[in-house]
Amino acid sequence: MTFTPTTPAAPARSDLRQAVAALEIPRARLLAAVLAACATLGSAFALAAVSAYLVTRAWTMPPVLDLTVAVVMVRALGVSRGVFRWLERMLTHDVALRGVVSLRTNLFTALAARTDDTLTRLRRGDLLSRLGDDAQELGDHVITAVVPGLVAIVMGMVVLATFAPLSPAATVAMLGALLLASVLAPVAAHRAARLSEQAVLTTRAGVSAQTLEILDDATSLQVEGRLEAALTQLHARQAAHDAAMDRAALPAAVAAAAVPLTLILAVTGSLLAAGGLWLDGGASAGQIGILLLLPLSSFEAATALPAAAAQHARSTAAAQRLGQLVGGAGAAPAPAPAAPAPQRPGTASLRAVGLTAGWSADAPRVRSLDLDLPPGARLAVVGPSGSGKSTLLATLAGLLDPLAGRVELGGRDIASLAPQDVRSRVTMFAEDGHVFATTLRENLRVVRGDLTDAEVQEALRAVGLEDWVATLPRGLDTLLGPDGTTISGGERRRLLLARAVVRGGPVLLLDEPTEHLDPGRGDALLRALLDPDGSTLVPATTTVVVVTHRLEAIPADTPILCLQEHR
Amino acid sequence: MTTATAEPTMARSADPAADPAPRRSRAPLDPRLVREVRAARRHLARSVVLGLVQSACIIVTALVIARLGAQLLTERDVPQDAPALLLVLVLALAVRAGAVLLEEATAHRAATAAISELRGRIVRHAASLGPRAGAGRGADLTALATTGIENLRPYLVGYVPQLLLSLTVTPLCLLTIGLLDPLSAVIAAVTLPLVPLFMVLVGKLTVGRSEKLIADMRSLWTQLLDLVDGLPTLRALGRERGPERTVRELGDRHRASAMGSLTFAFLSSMVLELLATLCVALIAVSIGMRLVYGDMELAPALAVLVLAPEIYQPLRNVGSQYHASTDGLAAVSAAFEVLDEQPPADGTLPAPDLRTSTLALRGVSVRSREGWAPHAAELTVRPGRVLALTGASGAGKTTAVQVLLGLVDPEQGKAEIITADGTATDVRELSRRSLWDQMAWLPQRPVLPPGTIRSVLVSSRAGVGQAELEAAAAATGLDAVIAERGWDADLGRGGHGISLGERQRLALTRAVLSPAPLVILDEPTAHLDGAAEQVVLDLIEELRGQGRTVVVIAHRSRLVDVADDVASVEAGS
Repeated sequence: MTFTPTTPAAPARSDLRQAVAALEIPRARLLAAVLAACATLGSAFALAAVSAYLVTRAWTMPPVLDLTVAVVMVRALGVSRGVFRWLERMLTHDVALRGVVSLRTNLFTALAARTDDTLTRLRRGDLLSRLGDDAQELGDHVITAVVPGLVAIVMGMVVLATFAPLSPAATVAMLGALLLASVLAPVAAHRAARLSEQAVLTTRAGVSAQTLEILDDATSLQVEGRLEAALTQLHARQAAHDAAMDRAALPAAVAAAAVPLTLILAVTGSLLAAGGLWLDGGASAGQIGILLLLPLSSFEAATALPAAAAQHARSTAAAQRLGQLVGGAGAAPAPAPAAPAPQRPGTASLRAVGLTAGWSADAPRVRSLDLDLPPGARLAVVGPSGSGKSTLLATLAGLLDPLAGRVELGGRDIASLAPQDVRSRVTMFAEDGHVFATTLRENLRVVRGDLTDAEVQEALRAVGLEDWVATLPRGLDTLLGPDGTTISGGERRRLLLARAVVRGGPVLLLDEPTEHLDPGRGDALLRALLDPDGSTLVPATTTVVVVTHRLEAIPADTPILCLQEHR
Repeated sequence: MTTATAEPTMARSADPAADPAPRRSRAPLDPRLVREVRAARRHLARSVVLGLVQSACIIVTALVIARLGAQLLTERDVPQDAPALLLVLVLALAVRAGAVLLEEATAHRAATAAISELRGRIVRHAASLGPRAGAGRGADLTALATTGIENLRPYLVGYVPQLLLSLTVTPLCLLTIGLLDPLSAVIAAVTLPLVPLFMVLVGKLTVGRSEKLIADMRSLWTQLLDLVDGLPTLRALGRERGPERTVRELGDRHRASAMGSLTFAFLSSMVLELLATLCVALIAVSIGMRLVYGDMELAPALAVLVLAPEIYQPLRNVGSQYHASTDGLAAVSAAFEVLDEQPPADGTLPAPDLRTSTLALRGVSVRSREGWAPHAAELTVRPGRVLALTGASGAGKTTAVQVLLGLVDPEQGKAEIITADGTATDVRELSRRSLWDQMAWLPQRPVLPPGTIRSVLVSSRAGVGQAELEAAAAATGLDAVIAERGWDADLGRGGHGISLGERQRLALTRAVLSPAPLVILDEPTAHLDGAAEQVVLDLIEELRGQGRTVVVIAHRSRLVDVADDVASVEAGS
């Protein structure tokens, strides 16, 4: 199952349903957790019932042997609750943690399938809180809302089934009390949670902004004599936030007081029923004892419902944010694999027809471009920064949908080909490519899992990294820090280039491969890439497009595409 | 009556942001919070009173139910015939519900008020501590003032009332049981101390495990984010399918490690539940056995049976709020750590007229992270002259100026103001306000009051005319910005609506307009290109022409060239 994108208009409720579906909770495990929770609460409930029975039955002074079963049960139930509680905690958390793992995996898959620039636009902190806090919030949804909700339903029925054979009147009173506790409290708690969530989103944002401003610029404000005014404004914003937060106080209090309140109905109803029953001789002393004392112990499951309702409100908000992450307006629909992926052919032609490209329709970077690159063609793209060189390359690689016109690969519109098919034929080297926090070898094998060490060495040699590798004590097993922070800019760039070279393929697109290299090395590399006969780096039949600003290093017979700056 | 225990969920125990610092044992109530925050103090007092009310209600409920039950079974008196007792029962239950309602509602309001008060005090106090105290804490301070202090809410709403119930309900119920049936009280009194005992044992068992879990969580995050960061690359290589298996593997590994720690962590909740129910079971069996032999009356037996679970209930609730308490207490101590720091004292003497006075630093050294910055700084700012302050980055140029302004107390040396007749006064003895009112200070990142371009300029000198505004704007190059955006363009808060370069020009224009005799410019050309730099140089000339004193922190040599005097500061170790 995948976390499929929703349309922006879809209501929040369906976001929550989708997010919960993406947890992929195994039914059997959930059932086991619910059963363990019912056994926990059932132990306490049964303990209250049996001990009430035991005490009132004992008062009739029966032979002691008559009480043996009740005594043994009381002792067993005294122990079982603790054990079941532990079991229930373990099972519930296991289900929730499994759910969070599945959710994160599905989120990752959904993010991987997005073809727009969501990832680049998202701030790292936002991504962290989506994959972290929000995913966790849905794990809590299982622990605090789903399991207790199901348990409350089961336990409600257990309570009613216990009272039903004893007294219909008491059963009606219990039913009324249970309904009141299960409706009033959660509704109030839900309202309180939504009010505070809203206050945090609106008024607290103002408080935080003002706080940051004062703390950041305290000294300037003080010297200019504006600190008091700023503090006064903080005070006003805080007051507005306080008022918004305090609106949640009453519903939260109602939620907390609901169960004690419903006890009035349950206790008095059951008590009065017991009176009539005893006089009519319709019940034994033990049964009267149950009617007298059990109502006080019948609402444990219901007391978890306010927290469940509040969690529901929080989970809904979290699911909504996750829905936006994987599905906003810019999400491209998953393209149907139109053509079966052919075996990687050795050559392919690349054409652009009336191509207009850009990250957003408001600001096209490249307009109405026509290109025709037969197999083995070489092209250098130059132009000032901001002229759309990288955008053009991303569009030619099929990573970005054209705003108008089309890109043809091997004579077919790239949009009609399966993404896997395009990727297998077009290799793109991007200057912002990622270096993974793993070994040097794995950073090249990310391209192809079956790469041998000899092939890895060969690629590193081709980009001039063999001397560097020789100085590393652990060689190919050297661990690289996250995003290449432990290697220099030039090494990183050449590593990314080695990746592109290893990958090969009929079409090679390279974005500024020689930046950060010393000019001598860089120019040699550029010539090796662009001169079809000059090197072993790239086969002569490969189509190569290089974005560069080293105009002087481009071989004389290489065609040059010059992009213009525009605003 | 029993209440469900809301256990700490794994989200809290496995939170990557959970405090990795070793948990010092703290008192469950911070005395400073009680002493200094009125809302918290009143909340506490009210909670004690409401705890007593709830205890009374619980005890009355138990006694009345026992009495009505015993009368029914022994005398065949139905409860309907004892309306007074029934009324007492209903009242006791209703008052208890009311007490819970009041407690919860006022707890929320008290938390709101306490958070509000503490945030206000932290921000005000941190601002008064001067540039170094604030900067030393940096992100910690802002995190505390924005979100950290909010941890007081679950602490005050969830933990404190339950803590106080365990100090009222538990002993009072135990006392009542003791009066009704001493043997049951003994059973309870023997099992109760086992709660803290087992908690300590379980705590010892889990020690180190939560730290390991947090470390695991961190490494999971690093690896997961590495993959997410690498997604565009993987997609470009056509390898975006596959890493999700790694994501799942990482998650499963973390889950296994988390469940390992939880196995032990949940032992504490097991022990609590076990002791609570075992105690009730033992009491029930003991009472039953004595009833069989006629050694006990029915009414006290029933009352004890109702009260026994109530002894443990508050303890179980306190246990479930453990995280609310640690997070809340951490926020309180962080808050008072800031509040306890002494701000530099303000002086009382009015500052002399800066148009005729000289400012000087005498052997000023300020401690920095790497040593001293500046170290033994000497400089003299003569009235009506332009002084360029130079030095390598990190040498303490800005700090030297802050000492001159009386914002930072140097560890060694002093800043002085020498009047025309030669009287020298330490800056620390001056009323800062009277000093600051005579200067215009442009920090590297100028801060602007909210408003329009016009209102921001006018606020620097009351009653300034349009002609003067235009002249000043032309002098700083602000006129180009005005031509594009107009005089009434709203700058948003703190000038965030305009670029840094534009903000700099606006702040420069304010400095030109302000009548202050001393103008201090901190790297005024840092965000400007060559042409704009010339504007600043011309501006300094103009300020000199007006007879004003200028201190300019200069990185570029062109600024040094226009200065009358040059002073340089150096860092030392």
